[in-house]
Amino acid sequence: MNNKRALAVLLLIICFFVALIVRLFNIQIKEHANYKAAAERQQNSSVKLKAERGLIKDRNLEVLAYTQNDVSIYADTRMLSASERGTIASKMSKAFKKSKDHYLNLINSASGNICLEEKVLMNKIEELNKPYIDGFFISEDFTRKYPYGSLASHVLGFVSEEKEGVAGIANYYNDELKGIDGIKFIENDVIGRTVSVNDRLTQRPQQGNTTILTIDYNLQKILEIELKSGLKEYQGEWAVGIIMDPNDGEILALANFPDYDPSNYNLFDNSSLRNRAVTDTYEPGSTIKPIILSILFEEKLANENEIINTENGVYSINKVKIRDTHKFSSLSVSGVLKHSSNIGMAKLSSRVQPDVFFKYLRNYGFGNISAIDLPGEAAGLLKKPTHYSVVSQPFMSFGYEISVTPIQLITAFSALINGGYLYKPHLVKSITDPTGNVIREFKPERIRKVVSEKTSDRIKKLMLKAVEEGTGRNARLTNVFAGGKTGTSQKLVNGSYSSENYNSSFIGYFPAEKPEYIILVLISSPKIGKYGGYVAAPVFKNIAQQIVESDILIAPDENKIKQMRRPIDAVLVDIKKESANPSVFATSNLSPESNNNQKNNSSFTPGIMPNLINDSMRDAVSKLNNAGIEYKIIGSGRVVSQSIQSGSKINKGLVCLIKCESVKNISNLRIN
Amino acid sequence: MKNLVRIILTLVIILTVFGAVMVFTASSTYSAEKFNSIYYLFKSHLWKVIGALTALVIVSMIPYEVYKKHSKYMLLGTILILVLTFFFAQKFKGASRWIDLGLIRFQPSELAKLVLIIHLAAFIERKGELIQDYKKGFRLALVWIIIVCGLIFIQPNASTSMIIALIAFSILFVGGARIKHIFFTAGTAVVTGLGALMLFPHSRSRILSFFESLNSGGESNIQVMQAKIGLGSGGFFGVGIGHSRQSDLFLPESYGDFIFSILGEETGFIGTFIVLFIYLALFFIGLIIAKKAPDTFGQLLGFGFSFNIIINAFINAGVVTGLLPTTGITLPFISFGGTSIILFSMSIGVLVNIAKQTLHKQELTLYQV
Repeated sequence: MNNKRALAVLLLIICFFVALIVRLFNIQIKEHANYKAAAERQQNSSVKLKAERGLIKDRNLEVLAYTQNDVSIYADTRMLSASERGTIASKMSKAFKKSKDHYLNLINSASGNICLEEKVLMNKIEELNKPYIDGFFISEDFTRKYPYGSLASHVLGFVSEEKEGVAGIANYYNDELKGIDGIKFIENDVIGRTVSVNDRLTQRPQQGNTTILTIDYNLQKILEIELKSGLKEYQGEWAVGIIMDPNDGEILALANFPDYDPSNYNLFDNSSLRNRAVTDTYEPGSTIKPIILSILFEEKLANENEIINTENGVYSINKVKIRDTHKFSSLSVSGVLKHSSNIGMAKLSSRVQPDVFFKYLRNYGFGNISAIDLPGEAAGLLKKPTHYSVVSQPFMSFGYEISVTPIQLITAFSALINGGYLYKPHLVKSITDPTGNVIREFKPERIRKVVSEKTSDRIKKLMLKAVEEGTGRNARLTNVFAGGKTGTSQKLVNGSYSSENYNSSFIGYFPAEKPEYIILVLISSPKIGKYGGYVAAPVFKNIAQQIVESDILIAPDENKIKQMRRPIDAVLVDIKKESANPSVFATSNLSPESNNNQKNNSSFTPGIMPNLINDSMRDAVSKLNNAGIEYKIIGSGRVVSQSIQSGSKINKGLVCLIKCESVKNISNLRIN
Repeated sequence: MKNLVRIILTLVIILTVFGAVMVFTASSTYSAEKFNSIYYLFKSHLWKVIGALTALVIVSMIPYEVYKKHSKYMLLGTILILVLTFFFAQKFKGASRWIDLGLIRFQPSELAKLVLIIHLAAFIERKGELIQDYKKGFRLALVWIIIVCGLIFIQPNASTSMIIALIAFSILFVGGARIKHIFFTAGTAVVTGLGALMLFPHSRSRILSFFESLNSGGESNIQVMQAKIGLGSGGFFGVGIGHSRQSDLFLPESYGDFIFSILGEETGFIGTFIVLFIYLALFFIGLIIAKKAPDTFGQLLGFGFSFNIIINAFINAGVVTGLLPTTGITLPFISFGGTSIILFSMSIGVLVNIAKQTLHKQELTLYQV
């Protein structure tokens, strides 16, 4: 062996060694940061973790909306071979009991990503026993659930595909409800499968806060059932109902019909999605009269027993004719309200200075949003005195030339009957974190005092009379005294007042002396009947009656009611028999049921619809047979509604629809 | 001499054990993925390690003079196997390089390399001074080299054939052949070799992409890029044994030819430096053993085997670091791979035997004195 040459080889090898070491030094130490970054880029990924949306509960903590952590299953067809497609299809068909071809066709029909199953329950994934295949993946897909379907849909609102609240509470309190999204840092392998999760950098999503509403589930249910059946019975176009606590502005129930199912909101048109209680304005008609009257009382411009000449039903201001439905030559101020005389109101209103008139209406909250916690509220229209024409103030005094939202009207009315305090209406009692600790509490917000307590009491007495003796007789309850005011306004159609389309409304409260509940019922364009006293008042009565029965804090007043009503009813019967003053009941359809309303359940007259409510199905059927009325029964148990109002005359060929519910269902309503 | 044997054995055992650990961490994800058990490839490797160490012990006890006597027939046999391989072996990645002996899949080119070294060493000893003569010595050696390299080249396995040529010419160089002869033939071989390389699509693309990468500064292929990411993310101290992320299938064949990258990722610059230094030390000790060998055959045999180990190791490291174009060369004693670890262990066995024989003869001389 040539030693020199061996040494030369050794030297060359050492050169090679040095070259390698230099190279390694460059890669491993000099460019370490770059390579490390490149490694992390391909080895790590981050995933956004969608926060679970908070709950919405009613005032008694009944859950009205929650989030279910469903998952969707996808396939990316670009990454799948034919055999992998087969595997996926057979796994899917085993787990979801659909044919293998169904999934195979689904996969083969797509050119990119395709959803194989949408929003399935989390535990289905275990059943699936998902194999590791590139391009077959599962992604979290929360579903917003509403345990009571469309109940309170306009209050709750709905959540878009992007998990943002779009309407209702879901929108107004979106920031509270949506929570904080988390982020997960994952170490993945070359296919993108998770090797491990980096806990240090990972931020867990924070569940959204729980919103506790002022809504009472039971009242909401009563309101919706009655409002819906009222809308159907009188064949109205749409209806709004609100129940509120007049003493603190809490909304206890709020419903609109047509309504919608918040989990399938995209199947409903705009008309169903609209929360008319806050977004739609209308001319309130006679329901504004007690408010106008309170201005006169507060300003000492009128008193109850003053006699107003009501001109036998027709009166002109500047050649504009004002008419009364019930024609009187003269009425006391209290009679003006009781019989809802437009002429009387027009004359009385002229006593008030326009700017004073405006100031009060403004103070009652008209022309301004009520600032309720719902999106899209309308402000309505309240003319400024400078824009008044000669007839503006008279017309406003019976509810025209002014437009209001139902929420504005009920808020103003609350102030009128609670001693004069205007409260901000609100829907949320408190907001708690997911574990139940209160974060925000919404106390009643008193905005201002509008009228004195005394004025409030005086108006309440008049409204009690309006219900007991006047246009609101259909709203009389059997167990407590209620006050209220009917309203019927012609709708503006193409710029002129329609003689066919009316907004029929009733706003009432009970117990009459110290109101605990105030209820607004508005039915638009009813085909049957048109007067608020005929269409909306019975709906109010049905709702109020059930509330009184379920609320133990309201002491029934039945004996007092009987004592008071007997003489009045007797008088009314006499009046009717003698037809002494036909103008009292100018509208014939108002008179018949007035005296039949309080009919004893056990007696009935053939040809007159008996009252079946709360009867057992058997009793109801025998009554109907005796009365010779054709009928149809829906459901079973006790009768909860009848399509022909008790006391109405039965025309031949008319079929009475009876809706029954089992006792259990009814007692559910009374838990509260 | 005795110490040298101890050191060389220690170094080989260190490399083998360390290699087994690396094979385990580098192959576990792939094993789990492909065979449903993270130990699958590791177990197969362990059996080969045991076989390799057994072979080392057995070979170290066979007197190396035995190979000299039969070198010509061994080489002829090997050439026959290469011919058979060309015709009958399974095609693997466009090349027929492997022979399946049932028990073990076996790469004849690896064997041919060792047998050619043995025969060249024996040939040079027999020719003596004649090796300096082109017609009587050098040309005859060249014939063997061309036959063996040519057969491997057409498998096709151009890179191995070039490495064998490099080793063969190194032995001729150290064995005393004329530098003029070597450069002429080597020059011709490189030109014809490169020309022939362009004929095979897989080697052509590799070479072209390598030169492209030299120009653009980019990476010649994904494997090398991933290998460098592995090395680079290891830094100075590495991410720790068993913490490799690149072995999670980012780096293809991370347990085989590219295990040096995982080694660099897990043990950092310290690890790669020490491993390369151990190879250098092995070569240095091999050279000392060779130098002290009593006969030319033993000297050239010792040199050839030592050179084979280090050239494999350094070319492998050169490929992984992107210094050299990609070839299918294993990292001795560390890479997962059937024949590689057994044949390298056998060459260490031969080196140990040379050392033992040298020691024995020194003792004999002492007695005679």
